[in-house]
Amino acid sequence: MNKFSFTKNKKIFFIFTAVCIVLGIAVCIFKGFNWDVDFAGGAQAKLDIGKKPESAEMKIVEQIAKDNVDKGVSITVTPIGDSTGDYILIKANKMSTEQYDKIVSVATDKFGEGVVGDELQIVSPSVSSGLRKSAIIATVIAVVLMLAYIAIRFKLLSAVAAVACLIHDIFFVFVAYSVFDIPVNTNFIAVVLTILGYSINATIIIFDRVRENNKLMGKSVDFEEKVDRSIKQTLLRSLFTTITTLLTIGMVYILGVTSIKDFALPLIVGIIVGLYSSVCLSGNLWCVLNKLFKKK
Amino acid sequence: MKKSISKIILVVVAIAFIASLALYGFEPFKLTGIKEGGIKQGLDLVGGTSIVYDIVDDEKKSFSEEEVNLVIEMLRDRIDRRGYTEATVSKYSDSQILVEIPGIDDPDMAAKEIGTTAELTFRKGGADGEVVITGTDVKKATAVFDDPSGMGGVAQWFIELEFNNSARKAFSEATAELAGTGNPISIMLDEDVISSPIVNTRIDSTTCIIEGDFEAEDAQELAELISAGKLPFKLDIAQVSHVGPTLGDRALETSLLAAVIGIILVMIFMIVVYRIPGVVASIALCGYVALIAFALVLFKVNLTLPGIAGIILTIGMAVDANVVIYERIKEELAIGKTVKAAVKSGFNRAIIAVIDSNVTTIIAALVLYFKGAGTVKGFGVTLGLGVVVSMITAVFVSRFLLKAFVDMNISNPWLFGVSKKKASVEDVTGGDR
Repeated sequence: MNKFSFTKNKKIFFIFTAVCIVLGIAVCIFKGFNWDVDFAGGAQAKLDIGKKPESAEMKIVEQIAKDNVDKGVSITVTPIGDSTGDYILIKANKMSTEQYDKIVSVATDKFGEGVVGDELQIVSPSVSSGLRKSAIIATVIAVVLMLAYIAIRFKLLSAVAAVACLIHDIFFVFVAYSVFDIPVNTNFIAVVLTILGYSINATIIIFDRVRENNKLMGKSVDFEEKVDRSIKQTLLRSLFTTITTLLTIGMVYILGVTSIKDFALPLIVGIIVGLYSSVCLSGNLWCVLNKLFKKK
Repeated sequence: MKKSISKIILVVVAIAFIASLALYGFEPFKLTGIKEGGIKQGLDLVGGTSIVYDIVDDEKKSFSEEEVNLVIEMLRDRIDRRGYTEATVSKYSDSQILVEIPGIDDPDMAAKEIGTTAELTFRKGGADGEVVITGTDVKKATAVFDDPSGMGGVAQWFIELEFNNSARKAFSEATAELAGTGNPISIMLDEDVISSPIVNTRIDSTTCIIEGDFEAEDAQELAELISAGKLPFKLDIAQVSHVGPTLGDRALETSLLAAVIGIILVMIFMIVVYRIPGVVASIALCGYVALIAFALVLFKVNLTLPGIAGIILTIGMAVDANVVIYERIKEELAIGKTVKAAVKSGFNRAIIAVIDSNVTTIIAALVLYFKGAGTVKGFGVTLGLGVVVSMITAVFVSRFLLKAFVDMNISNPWLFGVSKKKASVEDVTGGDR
């Protein structure tokens, strides 16, 4: 590890990252996303199974629904009730009337004659557009303010590098959603925000070290050399912190129910990608930006 | 030595105390502990009622942010007055508001009551008579249990209103006009006539009472509705539904179990890697968990899945601050400093990095709290709380403890995580690893 230079090998990192980004974009385009009905609209219908649905029945209905819609369509089943009785609400981002009729008939075989299927409704995503909009606005403002803070505490160029890494991490969280077919629902917003808050930390710890080394070592040492030292000095910390965070979130993934797994998996991806970007990219980006804008 | 041990015991006792406060609550301060259901669970964990209101106005279709926020604040006020403090009110779209109330009995009734415009009017004659006074002229409304005539008769519930000056004048003129004609003055809330007394004489007073066979609860609710003021717009119920926990009934249970196992694994990891500082970090982590549980109970945070994620994430961050500090101490030890000096300078140097990284996270949390809606807001709350609490435990608690350990005259660098080889070979640059 002593001989290996992070900054001298930056070409390798940049090429590797570029290839991953291209692959990521390709996956996002060709595989697409599994949009949850809340997020993108779709179809929903109430199913009355003739009694108050308990979790066992919910599981059965979820399985029936999954078996009868197109492959890769995300299904959510929720027990609901209103003044007219108790139902199971089946939501899917794509479900035809025929498919729904099939679900109702299979459910009738399973639960008996009491099963009544309500008419299939097409639901628009407009209901969540407000939430989505406010989330995007909040994220943008948060990123801009973080950029400003880093620019004040460090240097503007380092802030640009840090935010570029942040965008990199969030991009790969998107890719994870596509690759693992995770439903994009309102929790998606929370995942992105979590990575936003977490991944910037690692970069700042490294930049803090660069700042300190800059003062300590003086002008005689090349900036790239200082960055390389800083990355190495903080490497154990970067690694250990990632390990401890993964220990907790990993347990959540292992023990959690499906909805929790869907939440933990992209977080795990984001945390690992965050480790890579802060160690291998952030410092190098700062070096490159420095060269570009500070020609002497 | 003795002093150090008592310091460590002090911290452990303090943590145990906070943990027991969080668990069992504290009656005199109205603090409900976790054991008594003190942590409010969000809709995604326990289910409840979700109501979507359309904001309706004759003149316009879209509403400015201030207008929507005003409606939200007023609804929030009403809902709090009803005791549904665990409910959430949020903007759903530019003309819709979402109210979510975990676990209530009669969703339709609640939807109707919460969404009522609550415009109080005094009208001459019947329900379609000329409006004399509106709710905005009422300074205060209180529910009173007394004899309304004030002459020692039978006590009953009624509403006492306090008028402003213009209302007093209008009321006096209207009663003068109506007196003796046999026509009533109708007191209405939205479309409903609450009371329509016949006017016998001119009344010139800043107070007025509304009688009407009220039960205690009705009278109080009515008084509160009037006090809270009328909504600037009409709200139509777009959708009321009772939703079960969307995450399934075992979501919370399994997440908590995972968090406990995760924390234990983290402790083992820290102790193996850092030895004594690892023990300190583990105690500080217990302190973190106790404090965050206490904060959740104290601020009555509505816990949702993203909220739990925020907390688990900050557990990672709480440990991170320790890792940054201990790595720094190891470096200081490696350049040949004594344990005492290394701990001191390690803390001082690492603290800047810890603060800078946490401030950026706090910025994010604040923005999410103030700008976000619904789950995003909830996430902002737990993330912000978590970061602040983790700074306290990771920096102050662990510094206090570590100093106590150092004062016990432990001088073997190995006990501070330096490997045996490194402990003898000094690396002056403190760098390469």
